Parts: sequence; structure tokens; C-alpha cells
Amino acid sequence: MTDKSNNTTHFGYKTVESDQKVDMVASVFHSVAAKYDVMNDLMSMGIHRLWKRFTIDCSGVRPGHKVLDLAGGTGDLTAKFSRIVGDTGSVTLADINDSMLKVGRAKLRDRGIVGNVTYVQANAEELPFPDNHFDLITIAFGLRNVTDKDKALASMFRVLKPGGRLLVLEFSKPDSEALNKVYDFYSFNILPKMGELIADDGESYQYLAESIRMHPNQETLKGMMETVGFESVEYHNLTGGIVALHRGYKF
Amino acid sequence: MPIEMLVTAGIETLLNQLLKADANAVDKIASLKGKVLKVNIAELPKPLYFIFSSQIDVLAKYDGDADCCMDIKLSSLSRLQDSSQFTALIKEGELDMSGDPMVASKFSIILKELDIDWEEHLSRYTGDVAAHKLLQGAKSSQAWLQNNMMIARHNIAEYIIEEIRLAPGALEIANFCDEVAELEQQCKQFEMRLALLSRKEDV
Repeated sequence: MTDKSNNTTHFGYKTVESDQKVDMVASVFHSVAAKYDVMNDLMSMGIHRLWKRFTIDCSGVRPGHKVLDLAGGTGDLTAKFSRIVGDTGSVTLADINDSMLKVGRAKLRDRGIVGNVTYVQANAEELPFPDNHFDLITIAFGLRNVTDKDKALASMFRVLKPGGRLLVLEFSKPDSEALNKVYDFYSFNILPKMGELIADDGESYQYLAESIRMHPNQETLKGMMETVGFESVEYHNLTGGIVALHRGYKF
Repeated sequence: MPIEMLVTAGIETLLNQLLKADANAVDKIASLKGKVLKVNIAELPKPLYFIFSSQIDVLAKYDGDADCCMDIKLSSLSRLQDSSQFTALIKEGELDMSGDPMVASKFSIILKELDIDWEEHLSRYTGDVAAHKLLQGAKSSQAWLQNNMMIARHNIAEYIIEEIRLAPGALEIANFCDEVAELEQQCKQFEMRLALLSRKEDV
């Protein structure tokens, strides 16, 4: 979280000036954009697809809905939402990083997903949308990289329609100590090596592992969502808590 | 959670790969665009939702209304291939359907009419010659298998009837049936005769 008194924040385990974090995160994602999908499959052994499927099942999305896929990266969720909401609905894929947005747009167009999808480069802290606009907002593996998470959550609350819901899919804290050990070993020893070997970029994946450890745990994030106004907030631990899906409503 | 997701992911991938393999199926699925089919399989804890667009998406949870809803047992699933069986299944109480039945029957027809040129698809990975040989091999081994199954069935039947005389042969059964029919006839004649005689006695 941002320490406002002296204007610093964390970047992985390093402490940096708040206004630098955006650029540093951006450079990580510029450098991994092209290999993002391959690396996701490899690093999570394909399980990230199941996490995303679970998110869609929990979304309650229907034809005609307006969906915002924040930090949507290469558009995995957008593709599915686009098919479900149909011609009467719309999906907005927003990402702060234009490299990721370009990769996402190219991928979705190649797959014939056009018509109800728009692409917006936006900062989650200052969403450029009117109040009470979306039926559903999802942010999958994105909140971690946002500098001021409270501000981002408040911004999401503002653009969500009353009755709409927010889904946050993010790495979290494993609930068993044994799993935690294995997971730590995997993320600090194996993961950066894999990044080195495949994407030729060990540093970015070192950042990934560190930023996951710095991210608030299940209960803290739940509290943060409640603080900005979300109600009936609950979370599901997936794969032993390595990932958690938080869901909150605006009434 | 992950098991459910694995099931829906598996079904979805399989269906879409099958559809992709047949160029016509993709056009046909477009006629169902925007429709939602809910299938409740009695043996599974959760329903499956099939959402049609340019492809098929399978969800385990869906908040909207399905256009068509089916309740069916796992054992009757294979009979759904033939949409003309729907009424029979409903009458037998094996299938319960509400909503627009066209969605279900169209889907069943699309799956039934899948016409996949396996040789063509295989040739992309192995080359034409190998694909042709492989499929030819598969076809001839299928024929060989069927032929041998038939011979085995014949042999077993012969052993049961002729060797250990556990069951009667076809001719024996026919003969026995004829004899039974004849006996029945004689019984009837006897009954009529008896009735006639007893009436004479009364008079």
C-alpha cells in the first residue's frame, strides 16, 4: 500500500517513489507482453484457465450486460464475456499498458471477436467512464500492480451500476503452511529461471513473485473493498489460496 | 471448484474442436446464436449451460434465463443423438423438457450431422501418404475386428447349442412352437366338443 507521508510505495520488495511505480510496472509488462500467454500457461501449468472459468461462472453475466474487463491484458476474459453478452451488450477491455492492449486486440481480432468489444487505455485509479455505468467489473491479476489500490477500488465503485458486482481475481496467501513452503520455493527459485529461459527476462518474473508476497491477503483485501463501499463482500480460495476470487456488490 | 471447471472446460474444448473440424458445422451453429440451453443431468450435482455464439461456451453457473431446459439421465444421453427420439424419451419419463424445444433439437442435429474428414485433418500433421495409410489401416482393422467378432459369436452359439446342448437350436424352437400351436388348436377343439356334448346332455 502507498505510504503517503513520504510518497513511497513498494515495487516487489524494493521501495520506490510512488510516481515511479507506474513506469516500472509498465516496463515489466512491455517486456513480457509478447510471451504473456505462453508464460501464463507454463507458470501456472494451465490452471489459470480454470481460475478464469470460475470467475466467469461467478460473474452472473447475461446478454445485454455492460462489462469492464480491467487490466484485461491479453483478453482471456473479454473473449468469453463478449460471446455471452451478445450483440446487445458490450465489453470494454481496459489496460494501463498499451503493449498489452495491442497484443490483446490483435489476439481477439484474429479470433473473430469484434463488434461488441472496445479497447481503452486507462489507469484503474482514474477510470474514464461515467458514474453507474457497468453491470460487472472484473480485474484479474491486475490489482497487485496498481499503485494506490484504495483509490482504484473507489474508482471502480463509482463506475459500477447499483446492483452491479466487482470480481477481483488475484494471487493471495495459501492457507496451509506446507503449501506455502512449496509455493515459495517454486516462485523464487523455479519461476525466475523459467522466465529467464523462455521470455529471456528473469527480472520481470522475480518482480511477479515479490509483488505477490506484498499483495494484501484475503481478509485485508476484503476489508479494503468494504471500506470503499462494497457490500456482501466474500471470497473463494482457489487452489489452496494461491489465488483468491473476491466478490463485492454495489447496492 | 476445480473439478467442475475441468468438466466444463473439457466438454467445451471437445465440442469446439469437433465443430471446428467440420466447416459446415460452424455455419449451422450460427443459427443458434444468442440461445442458451440448460442441461440437467440427474447424476451430476450441477447443471450445464451451453451458450451458443460463433462457438459454444459451457458454464456451470449462469444467472440469466435459459431458452430451453432439459432434465435427463446419464444413461439416456446417447439417445439424444436422434432428435426424433425426443418424444419417445419424454413419454418414457427419461427426459423432461421446457422452453423452446427447437434449441435442443437443432443442437442435437448439428452434433449428429458432424461430418469430419479425419484424413484431411490428420494429413496436416503427418502428410498425405501417412494419413491415408493410417486411416486405411484403421478402416481395415475395424472390418477385421467386426468380421472376427461375427465369427466368434457364431462359434459360441454353435458350442452352446450343439456341443453342450445348453440351449435349443433355431429349428428345434420352431418345431416346439409349432407343436404348442397344434396343442392349443386341439385344446380348443376339445373344449368346443365338450361344450356341445354337455348341451346335448341337458336337452
